[in-house]
Amino acid sequence: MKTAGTIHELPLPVRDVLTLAIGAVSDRAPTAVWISIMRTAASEHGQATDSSAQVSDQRPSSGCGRTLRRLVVVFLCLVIAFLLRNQWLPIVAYPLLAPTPQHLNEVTLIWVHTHDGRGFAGDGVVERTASLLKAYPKANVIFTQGWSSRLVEMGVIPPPVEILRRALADYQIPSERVTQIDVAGYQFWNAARAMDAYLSEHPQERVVLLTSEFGGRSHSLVLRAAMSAPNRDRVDILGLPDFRYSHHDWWKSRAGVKGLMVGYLYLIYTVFQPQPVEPIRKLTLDDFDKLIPDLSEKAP
Amino acid sequence: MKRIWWFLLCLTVVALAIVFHARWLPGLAQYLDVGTAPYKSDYIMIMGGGIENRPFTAAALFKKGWGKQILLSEIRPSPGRENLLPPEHELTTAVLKALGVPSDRIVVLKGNHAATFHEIESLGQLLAREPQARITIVTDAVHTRRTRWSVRRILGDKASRVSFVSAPSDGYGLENWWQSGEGFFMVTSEYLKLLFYSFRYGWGIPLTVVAGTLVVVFIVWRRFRTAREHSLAECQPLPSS
Repeated sequence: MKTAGTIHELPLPVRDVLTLAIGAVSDRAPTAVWISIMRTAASEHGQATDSSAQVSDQRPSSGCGRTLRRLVVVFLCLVIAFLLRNQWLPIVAYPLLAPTPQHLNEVTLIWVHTHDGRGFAGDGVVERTASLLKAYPKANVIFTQGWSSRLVEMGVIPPPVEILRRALADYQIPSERVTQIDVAGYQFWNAARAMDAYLSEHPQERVVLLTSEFGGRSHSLVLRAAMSAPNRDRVDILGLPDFRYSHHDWWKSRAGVKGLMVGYLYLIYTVFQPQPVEPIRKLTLDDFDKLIPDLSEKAP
Repeated sequence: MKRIWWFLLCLTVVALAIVFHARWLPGLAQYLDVGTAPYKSDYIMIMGGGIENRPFTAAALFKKGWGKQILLSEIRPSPGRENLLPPEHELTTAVLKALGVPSDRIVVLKGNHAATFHEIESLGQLLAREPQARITIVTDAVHTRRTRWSVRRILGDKASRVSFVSAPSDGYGLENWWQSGEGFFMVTSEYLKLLFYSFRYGWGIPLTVVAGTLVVVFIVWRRFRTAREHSLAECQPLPSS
């Protein structure tokens, strides 16, 4: 009785929505629920109601009608979700982001990494590195390279550390401020191990790792697996948004949707397997030649 | 009680899938690989996005006489990334030259090719000019199915003039792809991209609408039938004792 009285006191639009929702999940039709509420309220106010009307309205509704009402509610929810997409879609990307750097003003090393041996992890790495180096004149750049590109080995492009030095030179950053440390292996886990060893030898250094915005969390998981706890605490991660999108507007472009997908796939894999199962075997030029059969006269 | 049995059945299936994962996971990657042995062709086309392995496979094909010319798609760099490295097609050209392919045998398809589908569209324009030409497409093994899907979608009858050669990938094979991050990413993303392609370029949206409508109609019909049966049962006279 008390509940019905409370419902009766609600404003009319709220009562309408409530009635629809109750009707959608109830075995009774919304009208029956509503009549029930009204009857309870009316009895509280000492009003009489027609009992025959009550009986006809309280008959269980058909399954067909109930299903249709549920479909309407689902459709309404979808419409609301679409209208409010700017509010909730950024939240979808939050699990991919690394925690905000807490000690950026204490940074002494800016860690730049390449995954493919050609480009750098994260867009605008050069610009961001240059601005950090200018903001913190005592800071330096430490560079790690996992995969060694065949293009570099063939001399088609210069080594990525040289590309970085040349690009920073455009910002009047001398090349001595960029140091490369050796990495044994091709993956970021190997680079994290190398950085762990470096930080053990240089206990005063504090590092900020520059990487792609949607790769922040997965990199954080790799660092957690590869580095000792004290050293790991000295590394912050700064996620750099793609030039075309960020977590604020990723759904507005095809590249953003693809970036989110890539971020989640890497995150899922890193959660289960942060360190490599076995070392990567790199194919040689001969391997490519051997895989192609010689052309014979019988060739189609 | 029935639900418990369903739950146990699902649990058993999942447990068996985990225990025997090495038996069925390779099949997922092998399904994506529709590459064949090479055919003699007029053009060897290198799909964009795999500069570490595809040009090397294409150069090996060329040097062994499987093709007369090599086709590349122009791929413009994303905004903001122009200054660090040249565009991919220029790098691929440099790689091919370094591998001994004469520059007059390298043909670049002009345009901004941001996706597999766009590259095949440009190939279609070339085949319209040279309808008798035979093409061998070189791409990663797991990318061959989506490429073939695009070829059939765009070229129609001319698709028979195109064959596919799988380029080997560093770090993973079809038999152990889930053991490396790159392999996991390549295979899972290919399935997602296939799904996207079927929606964006194929019959995915109309088929989903039709299937969804049929499901809704079926559910409503079943509910309606159940309600009618209930009302009929209520009208039945009680059996006399």
